[in-house]
Amino acid sequence: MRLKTYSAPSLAEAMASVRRDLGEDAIIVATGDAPGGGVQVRAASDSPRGGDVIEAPRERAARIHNDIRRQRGDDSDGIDRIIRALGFHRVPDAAIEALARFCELQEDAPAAHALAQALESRYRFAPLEVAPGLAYLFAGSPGAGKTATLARIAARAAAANVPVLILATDCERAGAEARIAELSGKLGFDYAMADDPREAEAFALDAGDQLLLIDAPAGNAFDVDDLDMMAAFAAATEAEIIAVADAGQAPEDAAEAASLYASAGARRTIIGKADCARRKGAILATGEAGLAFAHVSASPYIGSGLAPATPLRLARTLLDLHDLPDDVSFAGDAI
Amino acid sequence: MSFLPDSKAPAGRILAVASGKGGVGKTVIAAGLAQAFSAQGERLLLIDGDLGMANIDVQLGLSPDADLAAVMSGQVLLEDACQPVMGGARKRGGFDVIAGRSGSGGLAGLRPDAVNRLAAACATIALSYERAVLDLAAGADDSTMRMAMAADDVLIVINDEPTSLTDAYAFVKRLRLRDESAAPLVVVNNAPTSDKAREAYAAFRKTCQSFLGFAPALAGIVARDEHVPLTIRAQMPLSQRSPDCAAMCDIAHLASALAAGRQAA
Ligand SMILES: Nc1ncnc2c1ncn2[C@@H]1O[C@H](COP(=O)(O)OP(=O)(O)OP(=O)(O)O)[C@@H](O)[C@H]1O
Ligand SMILES: [Mg+2]
Repeated sequence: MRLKTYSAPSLAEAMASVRRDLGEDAIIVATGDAPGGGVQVRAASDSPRGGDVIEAPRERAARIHNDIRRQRGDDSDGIDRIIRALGFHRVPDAAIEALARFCELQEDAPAAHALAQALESRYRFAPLEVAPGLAYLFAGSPGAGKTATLARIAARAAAANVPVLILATDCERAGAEARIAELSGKLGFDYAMADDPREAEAFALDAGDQLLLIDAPAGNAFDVDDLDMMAAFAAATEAEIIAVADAGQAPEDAAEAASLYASAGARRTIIGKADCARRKGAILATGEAGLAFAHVSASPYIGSGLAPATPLRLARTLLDLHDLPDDVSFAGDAI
Repeated sequence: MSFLPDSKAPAGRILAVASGKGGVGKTVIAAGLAQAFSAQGERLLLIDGDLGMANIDVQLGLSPDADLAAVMSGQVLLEDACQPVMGGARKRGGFDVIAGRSGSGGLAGLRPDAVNRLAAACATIALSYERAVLDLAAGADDSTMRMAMAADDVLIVINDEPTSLTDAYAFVKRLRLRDESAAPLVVVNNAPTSDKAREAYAAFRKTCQSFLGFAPALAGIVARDEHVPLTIRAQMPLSQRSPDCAAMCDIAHLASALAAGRQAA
């Protein structure tokens, strides 16, 4: 609520000021004589935007940015900063406690290094190899960024001269085939569509020493039938299931989804949308479920977006230090 | 436990004293009400629910061996933390106190489930008394609201300053967001004159009525009285050092009105 006191020569003038400042919904809570003559009016307003000047997007964004910096503890140091940042991201409590305890042992280290060491001690890190004869199946909820992730791995294979066969299983989804076709065309790779695990198995047998990248059927991680179908595609193609997680998902959902993918056979995860999510507790929640971190999306562009998920990179992402010059992802680093 | 012979009220009614703004006299009013209720024959418990800035013990000149913080950490049972004042709750005019002194974070630092446990523990021990008065922390944070929700009645202390009005309003708004049927009462403290107090209440009432559609009732007015700071400095209960001063008379009036469910005339 806002409460303001106005003095003016007349009641009408005071009321005009009230309406101008506090809006039409303002109420008068008290009136009286002003000490220096004229009238005094005390008015209150409780409408969220009553009388507020509507902010331009640029100003509003700047204000949100500043609020976030404060909440995340960007201006504090050491362990304090780490704990505030983890809390800001809604990292699960058990993880915060364990990481903070570890960080306390290395008081003198800069926050990013202390946190990196703590992450290293608690989670596993294992980037995907891009080599002939391997097979990966990318699983994730709709919108987690499965196809974009697949595209980035394919781009990296292209850079390393590894031949790729892309297998789409998501045929029912509108535009899925067109998207895969366009992508394959751009990179100069073959692609195929498989409606069921049997068809997928046949393509996999033919793949030879191509790197097989499979776009799993769009599925709900919490639906057992969808999980079974995804696992059946992976079994038929002897592909490793890679869980693609959305960094901005609710941490609890991310942890549950990750544990379901793990039970379906996934061992590694690629974190998507880390570049656009603000509260990123889902990243560590995924690690808590036992998946190893393979890569993390660093920018929205397919050509340069995926970086190996190292402890230091995750630490910097969580502390929002990625805008420092030495952390820019270079061509050799990014996929 | 045995009650005083003239007890009529059902056991365990909790009155929370809140304010929004700090320093408006919650502790003075809560401790004063404890004295007044017990003088009226109620078996009474005073609880310092302001873990961060607990000071009932200081105002009353107590040196508690156990406090709410010790209860929270499991070191002592809540009933063992009760300390008698002016003869204790079994004597007319006396009451028991649970101090809230705490070196660390205070209520705001407790997790929600710990606050809920604390509130439940207070409600349980209140059953051994006819009434418990709970002195809440200033503000309207989540923990304070949880404690307020555990009370049967909530009394909001305001004074005639604009900041008191806005903070008390924020408190009422949060309380009513959690419980639409909550009907907190108001006391205007530190009133320079009765007219000024009524003006302050009218402004508060109008604000709540306009924006919340709910008008809190006025339970009483407590005069500005130099005996209050003097007794605090002497670290004595007001009813012991200045039983007939204006503030103590007003608080006794307030206690009767609250006990009878009456509004201020
Ligand atoms: N009726 C009164 N007349 C004169 N002084 C008063 C009166 N009520 C309170 N005061 C003064 O106001 C000061 C603050 O009172 P008190 O400690 O009860 O406030 P509080 O609301 O409990 O504060 P906090 O928010 O810190 O818990 C006291 O030191 C006292 O001197
Ligand atoms: Mg107090």
